[in-house]
Amino acid sequence: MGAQLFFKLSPSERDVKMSRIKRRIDAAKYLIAVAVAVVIFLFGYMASSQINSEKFRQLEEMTQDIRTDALSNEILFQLVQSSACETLNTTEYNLELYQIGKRLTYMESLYGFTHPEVIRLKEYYSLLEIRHWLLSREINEKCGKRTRLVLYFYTNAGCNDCEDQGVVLTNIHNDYPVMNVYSFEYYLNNSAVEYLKKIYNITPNRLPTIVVDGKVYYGFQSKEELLKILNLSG
Amino acid sequence: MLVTFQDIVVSVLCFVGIITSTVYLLTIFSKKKWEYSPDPKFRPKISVIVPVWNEGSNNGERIRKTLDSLLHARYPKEKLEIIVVNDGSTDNSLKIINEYKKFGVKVFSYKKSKGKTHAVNLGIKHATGELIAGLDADSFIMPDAFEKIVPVFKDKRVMAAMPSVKIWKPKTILQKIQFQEFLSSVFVLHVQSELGGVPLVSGACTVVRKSFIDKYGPYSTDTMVEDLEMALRIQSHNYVIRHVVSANVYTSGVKTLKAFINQRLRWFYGFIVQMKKYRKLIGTKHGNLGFFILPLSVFYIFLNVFVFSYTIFRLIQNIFKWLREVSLVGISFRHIFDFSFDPFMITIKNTTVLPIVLLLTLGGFMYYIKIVSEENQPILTPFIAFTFTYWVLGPICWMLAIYYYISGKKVKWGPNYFSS
Repeated sequence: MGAQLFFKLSPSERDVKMSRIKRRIDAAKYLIAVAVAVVIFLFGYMASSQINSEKFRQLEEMTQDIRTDALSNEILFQLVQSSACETLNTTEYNLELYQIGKRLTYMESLYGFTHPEVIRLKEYYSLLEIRHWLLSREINEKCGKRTRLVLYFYTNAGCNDCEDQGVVLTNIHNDYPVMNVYSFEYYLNNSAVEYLKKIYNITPNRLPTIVVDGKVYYGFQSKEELLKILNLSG
Repeated sequence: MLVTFQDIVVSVLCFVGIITSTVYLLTIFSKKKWEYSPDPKFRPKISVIVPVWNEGSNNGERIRKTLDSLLHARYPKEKLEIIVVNDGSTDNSLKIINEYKKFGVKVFSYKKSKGKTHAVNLGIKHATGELIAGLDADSFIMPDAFEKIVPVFKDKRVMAAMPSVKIWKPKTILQKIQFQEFLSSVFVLHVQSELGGVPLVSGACTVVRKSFIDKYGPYSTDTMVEDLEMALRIQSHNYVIRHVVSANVYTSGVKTLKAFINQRLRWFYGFIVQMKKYRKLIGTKHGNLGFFILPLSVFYIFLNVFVFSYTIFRLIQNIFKWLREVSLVGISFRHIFDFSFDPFMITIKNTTVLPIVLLLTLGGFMYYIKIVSEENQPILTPFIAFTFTYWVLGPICWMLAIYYYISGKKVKWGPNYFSS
């Protein structure tokens, strides 16, 4: 009978109450189950941190790659000067920078903005941004205004207006790809960013701050105001 | 990586899910052969009691189907006593039932309706069989059901045995949801039966040993879940309840959402009341039942309600966030179809992967139970319908049940026919 396999009867009980059962806890089963759950969680944790550290490496690689694009554009520009306007194609370069920015934001959402690797990549990213900004500014001067350039200073540390400003800027960028936004975390320790902060006189209580064509706008700018500033019609 | 509150919630859910699934898997794979092959020599007499209340519509289509299925059961005619109890029907039910007298069906009547449990107990009073089965008038049995159930009573410790109760030909989405709901409980019962701790017996054709009823009383009339009470009573006396997975009984399921919620409300409310009454079963004295099955059921209620409330909270939070964005930049449909898919942004971590794995495991379990319970109806659409709706419907019913229990409010249950 299969029943005996599951419900062991103690001898005394077998004599007294023939038809009742002595119940058993399948302790081994529960121990295995808990062990399986722990192993799966640990494995999952290790695998995911492996995959995500791989992502940091990937992002690092991208920032290295973008150098080549930046360099080729710069060289081309230097080489032929103003006559290069027609041959100059910065679309790819723009897109790449934009993609790095988006991925960096994603990593920041995963690891938090205080993660050392995130900070390091962000510092590097701001340098790439400044370089792109300088080149675009020069192209705009030599070849006529091609793109609207916006410097945007914000902080993740306690600034509600910055969140809103980010939403507005992303929205405008989606509608008008001719606008490039270069965003800088205020508290990044980076001499180039420090310099920009100094010349535009930016302090924490003035965040978010937007700089367009050398003009500085402190505090939150609504979508309408920004469109006016950027000379973009709605 | 950052750990959000959501991560913790999902982790706890997954952790419990993995433990439960593993115990289920181990139980399935270590399964011993429980189902006894039909034995022509072992044929105890069965008394089947069918309570009837206002079954006259469509010329008694449902009750005829129920009685016909009993008359066609593969079991010796002289060993199968069919007792119909007319519980004060106000339509022509009695006339329809009386037609069946010529087939040997016994009919008893209450002049005024007293409720299903009373009707069943009246039937038990007149029953002459060693085994008692109740069958609701909205259900019917497969011809081999008794043939498959009866052999487990060779074991003297088995006091009750129940078949797999499933939904017959689900048409509407609500019925498909119920199909999956019933199939899941068939699976869970199957495992609980292997673990030796079935905590409930269904009203649909559960077979109970008459000697147990004689000694410990018939179905309890002061509860709405007399079947659950009977099961816990059997368990509390340390007897065995078996589930015979391949013995099939079909029921039609409720048709309206109101009836659906009302039915679950009654089950869940009854569950809470009975859990309180039989709380001494929880612990280490009653084996797997007290250590795993009952605590898990209780924990599941809280988890269910908590996860649902948290999801709703997050949903509201996101709606507010969205509204704020709309107030900043307006609604724009220009980019609504620009899905820029970046594989870089797929987050692979426990809380994103494990829920999918668990859902697949659940699907696997359903496929397994489809095979072992010899179910021929398709299971995929019900599974999908269930997955998308039950995380809302279930917790709502649980919360209502908890609310009614705590507030002590009397619930208008209505007649508890055709719903167990």
